[in-house]
Amino acid sequence: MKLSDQYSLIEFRGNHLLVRKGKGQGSVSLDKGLQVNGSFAFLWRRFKGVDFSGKDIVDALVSEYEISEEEASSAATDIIGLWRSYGMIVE
Amino acid sequence: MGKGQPESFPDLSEEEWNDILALAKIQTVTGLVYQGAATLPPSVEVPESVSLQLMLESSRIKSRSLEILSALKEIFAILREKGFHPQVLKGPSVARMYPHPELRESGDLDIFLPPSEYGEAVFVLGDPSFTLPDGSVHYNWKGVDVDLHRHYFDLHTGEENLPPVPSPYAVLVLLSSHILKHCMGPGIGLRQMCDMAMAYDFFSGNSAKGSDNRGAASDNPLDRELLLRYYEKAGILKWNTLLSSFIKEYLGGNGYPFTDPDGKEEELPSPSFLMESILKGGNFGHFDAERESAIHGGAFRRKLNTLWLYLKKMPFSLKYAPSEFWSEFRELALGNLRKKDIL
Repeated sequence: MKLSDQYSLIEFRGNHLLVRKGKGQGSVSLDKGLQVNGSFAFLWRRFKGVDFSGKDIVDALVSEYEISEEEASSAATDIIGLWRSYGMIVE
Repeated sequence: MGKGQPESFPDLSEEEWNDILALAKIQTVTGLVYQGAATLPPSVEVPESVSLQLMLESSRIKSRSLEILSALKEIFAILREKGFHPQVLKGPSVARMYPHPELRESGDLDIFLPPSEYGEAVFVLGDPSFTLPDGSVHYNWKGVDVDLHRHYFDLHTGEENLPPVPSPYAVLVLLSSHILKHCMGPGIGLRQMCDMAMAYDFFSGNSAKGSDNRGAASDNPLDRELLLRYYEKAGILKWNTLLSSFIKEYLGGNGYPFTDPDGKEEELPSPSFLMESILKGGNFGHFDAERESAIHGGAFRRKLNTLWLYLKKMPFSLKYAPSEFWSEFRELALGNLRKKDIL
């Protein structure tokens, strides 16, 4: 799976906002953007533009946050579910 | 121009930050505020609500910049394939002088074609939507407003008094006179003043090399004396002392081109009234209450308001660009803004 290139992540002084690229007049379809936390942003940056699997996300979380594989698996399931619900995943 | 002192930035309340944001939007410099705020030290608090708005706005601005660049590339490809020689006026050509061109807000696209090519080129892009009073034509190109111009300069003077096109001198005379014309009438905003400041930085050799894509131009700094001569011949030298004074006072400039290489500078006029006018009117004077009420009052009232704006600015115009003022006013009063071919 891959992350949709219709979204871009903006970082500003510790805040992270995911916005969807709109059409015409430079509009942003997601009206107020989606405010996301640091770990979301880390994963987005890590996997943007590349093919990845759920296991890849688990490994990245374990490596970055020094958590157990069990915790990372649970987090990976949540994040992939979130991405799918917003149409951010391209198979 | 990246020369501020972020460590001395004051603590601001949320209300004050919101005021800055509102002002930035009116002056169409939100992208620059976003960029500046991003460099503030962590000890400076920027309210979350303001941060989110800055992020959203900067995203919108970047997206719009890309659309305009895309339209520019398409149109240029079409025109060049047919053997024409288009040039961009202002907009993207100025944006490239910024450290982050995509954050410089652009409204539309202005393209110049030499008079010898203009007539034929007009219909290459399809039927224009309408013709402007000065003979330029307007298109809507996939959501981007595009104006095609046969005149590079908006000045009433002979070709022999103007710099060659294309050249950095032509860009500076164009930008400077564009600001002047708006100051003489409807008004101008901070964005155009920032453009002039960036252009001076870019062409004078002051911009830092290697940190962005602006290095090339600074390898060949302008001949300052030649630029001053062009200003003088075009009848806008005195106006440019005021413009340089504004850039020095409010935008971190050094008085260029009225400061010589030894640092000796001419005395420049006070620019405070210019800032008052900018703050009152916003981008191109669109936010001036007087003008806003006239817009809703019908065509005759709008024309009367335009005439009134020129009369109100007459003391300024007569002081800083008298010959240009009389030529412009004569055309306006006669209701005919068609010009003889200057270039």
